[in-house]
Amino acid sequence: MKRKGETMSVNERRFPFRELALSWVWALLIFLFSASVALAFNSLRSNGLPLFRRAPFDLYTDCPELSGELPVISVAKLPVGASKVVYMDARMALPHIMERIPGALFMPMYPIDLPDFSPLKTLPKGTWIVVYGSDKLSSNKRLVTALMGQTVRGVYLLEGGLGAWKAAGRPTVKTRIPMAKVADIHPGEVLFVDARDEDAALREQISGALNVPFDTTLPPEAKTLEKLKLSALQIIVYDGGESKNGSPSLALGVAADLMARGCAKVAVMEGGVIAWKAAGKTLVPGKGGDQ
Amino acid sequence: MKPESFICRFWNHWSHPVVGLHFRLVVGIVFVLAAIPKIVDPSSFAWSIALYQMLHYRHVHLLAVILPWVELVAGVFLILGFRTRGSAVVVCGMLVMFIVAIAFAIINKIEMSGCGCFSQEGAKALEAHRSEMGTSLLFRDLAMLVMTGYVWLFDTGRLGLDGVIKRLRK
Repeated sequence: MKRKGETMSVNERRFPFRELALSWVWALLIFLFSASVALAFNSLRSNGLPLFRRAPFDLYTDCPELSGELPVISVAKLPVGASKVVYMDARMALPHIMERIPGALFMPMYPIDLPDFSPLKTLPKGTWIVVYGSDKLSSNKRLVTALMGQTVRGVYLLEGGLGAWKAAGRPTVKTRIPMAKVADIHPGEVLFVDARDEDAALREQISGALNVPFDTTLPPEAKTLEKLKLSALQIIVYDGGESKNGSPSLALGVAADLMARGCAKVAVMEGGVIAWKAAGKTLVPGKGGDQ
Repeated sequence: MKPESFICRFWNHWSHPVVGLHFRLVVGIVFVLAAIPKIVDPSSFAWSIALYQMLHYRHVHLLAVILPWVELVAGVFLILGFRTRGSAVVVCGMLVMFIVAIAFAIINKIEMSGCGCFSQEGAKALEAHRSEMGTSLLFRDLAMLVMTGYVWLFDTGRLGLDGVIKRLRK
């Protein structure tokens, strides 16, 4: 070190341009040396990582109650056709059936009940779960919170929901709910499902009909649902036939729910009970309970 | 006194290697301490990298294997004062990368359990420190970037192995 009064050497009277330039060369050499050591060490150690990962990460995130925010992912970050990404639709059955992301699991977030999380057990480890749903009802956020509450890892909220998905040019699937005219229905060959509330069904219903009231707060009863799934007959869903301010009919809601839950051959009876009566067909008092 | 002469005197002032030594020790020790848990458990570090969602998952492992060793070697070189300026460039590059990654995570509101800079225990300690000092990860990295930049510009490595080698050659 030079103290005050000492003379400076020739080297110290100039800018260290050469040293600064050379430092970049040395930086490159240090990096190459470190990378070589790292690769050699990794190949020799017993728990060395494969250099190129084949599966996406099952990312861990904090519990939402603790972090205050939910993990979001944009459409752009989701690779097209990725096998280890599963989409979950948190909306109710009707919007799910009308338009959804291909292969999306139906996971409706009812206000007072959690969906069935058993399909998650079949997912391969490391799968990313991407949730979309209704921003208005916050069903998407509630489902992400519920999944994380079940200690499921790798859960994301799809930024912008289905709208952003479509805006990015990604494909969707639309399913039309089949309609059946009263004249085409042969009572012995179909299984009727009454979508009206229990009181209406007790007053009068089509003979042999199962009552599955349209409900946006609870899923259908598991026992009834199982019976419908096992049925080989065509399922005809009907309601009162009255249209309320152009809102979707009860029958459409229940039919969509049954279709989303895997029931085959579901159709809605056009005109409901009104059309049934107009065709001169009879109704019987409902039995109530498990029929 | 000519301005050039003044700048040269400032640039080559005897106090720079002393200040630089302190900066080198701080940054070098931080880098070595950060590198060791990552080398011991590279898969956990790979998770941390993946959390940033900046890299395609295929390349995460490669970075998780190489980066800790670059940190370790550059950190040790900084502490020893061996190829000081070269090590400073490497550390500066890594710090810029970390700053960009943290900024990316903040801007994109990516939920993370930690920055992945240290082991889990280290992250907790850092979090406690951060809440006490009221600084953020970004400021910490920026401060280290300034220190390392100073080392690159002004530290000749005189108080380190570079100085010893230079004296031996003479």
